Amino acid sequence: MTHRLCAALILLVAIPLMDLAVHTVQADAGRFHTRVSRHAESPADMRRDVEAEIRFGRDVAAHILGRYHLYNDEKQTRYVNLVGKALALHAPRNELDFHFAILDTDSINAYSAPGGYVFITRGLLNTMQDESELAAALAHEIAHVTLRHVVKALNIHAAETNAQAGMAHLLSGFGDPTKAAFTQAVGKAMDILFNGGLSKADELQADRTAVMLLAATGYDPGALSRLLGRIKHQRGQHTRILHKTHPPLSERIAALNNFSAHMQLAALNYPRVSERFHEYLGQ
Amino acid sequence: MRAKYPARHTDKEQDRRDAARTILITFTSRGVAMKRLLITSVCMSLACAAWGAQTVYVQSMQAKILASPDFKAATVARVKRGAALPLEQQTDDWVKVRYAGTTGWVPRLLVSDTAPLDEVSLIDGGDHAISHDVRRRPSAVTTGGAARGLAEDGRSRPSNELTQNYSAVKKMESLEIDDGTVLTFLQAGVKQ
Amino acid sequence: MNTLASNPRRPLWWLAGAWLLLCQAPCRADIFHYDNLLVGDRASGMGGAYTAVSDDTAGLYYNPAGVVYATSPSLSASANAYYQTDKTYKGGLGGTSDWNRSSSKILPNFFGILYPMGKGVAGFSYVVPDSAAEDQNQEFSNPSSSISDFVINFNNEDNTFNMGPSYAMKLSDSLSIGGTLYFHYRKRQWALNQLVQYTAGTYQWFNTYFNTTEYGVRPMLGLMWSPTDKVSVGLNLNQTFIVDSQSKRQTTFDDNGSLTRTVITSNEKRRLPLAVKFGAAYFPTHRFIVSADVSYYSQANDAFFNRNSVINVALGTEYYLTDTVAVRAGAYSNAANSPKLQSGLTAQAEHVDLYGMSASITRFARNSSLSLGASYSFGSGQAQVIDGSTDIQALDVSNLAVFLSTSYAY
Repeated sequence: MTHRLCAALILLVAIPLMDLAVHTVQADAGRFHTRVSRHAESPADMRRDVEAEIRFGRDVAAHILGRYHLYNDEKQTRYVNLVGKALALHAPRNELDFHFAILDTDSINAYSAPGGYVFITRGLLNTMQDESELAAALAHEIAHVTLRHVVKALNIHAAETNAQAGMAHLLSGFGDPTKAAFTQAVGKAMDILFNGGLSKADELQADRTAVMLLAATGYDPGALSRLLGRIKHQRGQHTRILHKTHPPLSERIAALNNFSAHMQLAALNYPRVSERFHEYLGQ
Repeated sequence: MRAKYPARHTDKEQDRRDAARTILITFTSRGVAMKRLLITSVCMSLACAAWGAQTVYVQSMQAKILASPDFKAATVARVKRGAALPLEQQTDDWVKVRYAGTTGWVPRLLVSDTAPLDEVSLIDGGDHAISHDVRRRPSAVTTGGAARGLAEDGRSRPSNELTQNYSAVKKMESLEIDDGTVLTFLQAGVKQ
Repeated sequence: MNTLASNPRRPLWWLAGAWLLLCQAPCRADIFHYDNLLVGDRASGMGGAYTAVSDDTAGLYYNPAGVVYATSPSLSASANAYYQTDKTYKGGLGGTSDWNRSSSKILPNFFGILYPMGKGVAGFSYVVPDSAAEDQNQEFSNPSSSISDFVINFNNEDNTFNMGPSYAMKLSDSLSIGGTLYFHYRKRQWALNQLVQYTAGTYQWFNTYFNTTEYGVRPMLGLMWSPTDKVSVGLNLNQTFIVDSQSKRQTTFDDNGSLTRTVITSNEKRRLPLAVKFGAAYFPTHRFIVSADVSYYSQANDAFFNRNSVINVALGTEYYLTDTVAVRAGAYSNAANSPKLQSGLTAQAEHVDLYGMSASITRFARNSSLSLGASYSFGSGQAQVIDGSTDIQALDVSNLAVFLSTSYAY
């Protein structure tokens, strides 16, 4: 009996493994598991999710502004907002109100939080040579928001507030505290083990989307590659940066150049807009 | 292959796009134009078969429908946010749609398969400063890691800072510029 | 050798006292069957035919490989399950009256949580695969000409807990693999107290107390394969290995003032069978599922009991009446691992093959669901409850479970 059982088990396991070897690209088997109750997604639900995202993003923005001071030059801030909002008009997710601000620090970077809060440092502004480069940095950050990278990674959405949800919480007896503890524990684990990998793919996707956004708005799409090249030059010698969250700059620049060649963007000759840039930023 | 959680419609598109793109890029990097064309058309037909007859909606404030999937091509039409465009074909970065009796191409970035939402803002201004409502405040652990930067930060992400400055956020939010002013500004710069 | 399994010292007057019931220590129906409690809000409604579905938290128990197809990270709990068992041993008392035993219990029997982690899905679950609580108090006046009073008190609590982590990942677009490592804990306390007062003025008083605490591990390996679109095939292999077991049995006998007491302790461990569950499911539309499971449990013998191999089958279906309401139905078998009773032998284990059906209804909101369901199983078989007698009683069993459970996607 045992021998026959073993033989049967081996067959049961061998058949799917052979299938594995034979099939290459195949439609994702998981999709037929989805039941119709998962499809219901009303606009009201989506709006509440966006509200939750804005609330969350606002908290993240408050953290960033807890670390760096706002650079209070009104003229420069308005300029950054004009460029940023011009890009935002040509990007999806116009239900969000994008806000842009300058951080008073010499470090060279730009940041975004979900819900449309975008920051750029004085240090980064100082390395730029024209408005298209400013647009490139802002476009990359806008892309993170429109692609919902953080929303998806952290699964941010509105909590249910109806009676059934309340009952579900009560009956489960475990509900929010367990969920929070679990999420945080997993989040920490994710951060340590895997976060590097996932966010690197996000960065490459944001780069590509930024280039398309620049072109759709009318700015020179090569500006992002130029800007990253300059950042790489500025940073190159002194800092040994661990590439935890971003792919190395050289890899990103190479990917952008490939993409640009494939899309024949160099032939566009879209403007860089440098005169007005120097006017506003007094450089 | 990591387990994916398609919480929203765009994730399904993205999965298919990612699969198609991987194949496309592999062949593209070999620099053989014929192969590229062949694979592009195979991917397109696979993607079409998968996506099926669909309508996409314009998500950006406005979009130009172009004669071919190239920013240099002639503008066939201009459409506004919310326009429903029946989908004919798609590639990684462009979609072919029908509009007013003709067809044209739009960057995929600008469209999505659900209608765009009206503007969403927080009714209560999301004020945390006064209430110190610990339950409502998301944990520092989760918001901490949530900023995305342009380049790698040598040290920890700036949003890992535990203090929060809401008055600065309010100041940031207070700057309002209407769409007309923004567009005028843009036209002056890029002259299109 | 005096082990727990061998017959404890029996009073010599058993010939006269056909009323006396001295069940051997393993005298509980649940250890004679393997698929006793259905867990999980969806699986319970489908008769447990879930090995090829398993695409939510209950999958952590039914087939860990299936959880890679869960549509979102989620948490679910079956908070309130009410169980009731009724057993009637016909002619079990004095050969003439029926001995009825019933038990009921409310307990949360499932909690599970899923979260994507790295390339796959991680999970944690807590399951009560088996639970019984019996309480019986009966007093009979003048049940026969020689006996003026007969009192019987019976109390039994037997709970098994499984708790542990799981991880699953896709090997290809159509094949996934998963594993769960459960920690097994079982506690059983059993007490039988009998008092016989004879019309002659003498009395006999028996008290048997038995408890067992078990610790073990239950690893589970799951595979799920989609040979073609809309069809899923699943396999779950698992076995409980008892690592440590402490048992104690105390028998006290007061024969009209003359007291004897025996205590036996033992570290004997149960040997539980290898379970092989094979399932197939068909998902023709986003509203309809039909699935079937076949479970095979191997032979397993140990110091307590010799278990035959068992094959159980289950069938289940789920249908969405609307986008937010689903109904489920299922049928299943729960065969006995004890042998059929033979005439001329004594102290044989009871043998009842059970058959059951289940149904449930669920209401879905955007991120949560609430389910109400019930399952009912029944069977007729045979037992020998009178110690030392070759008499066989007919046994009728019925089990009813009502459950209210929720799941929450976040």
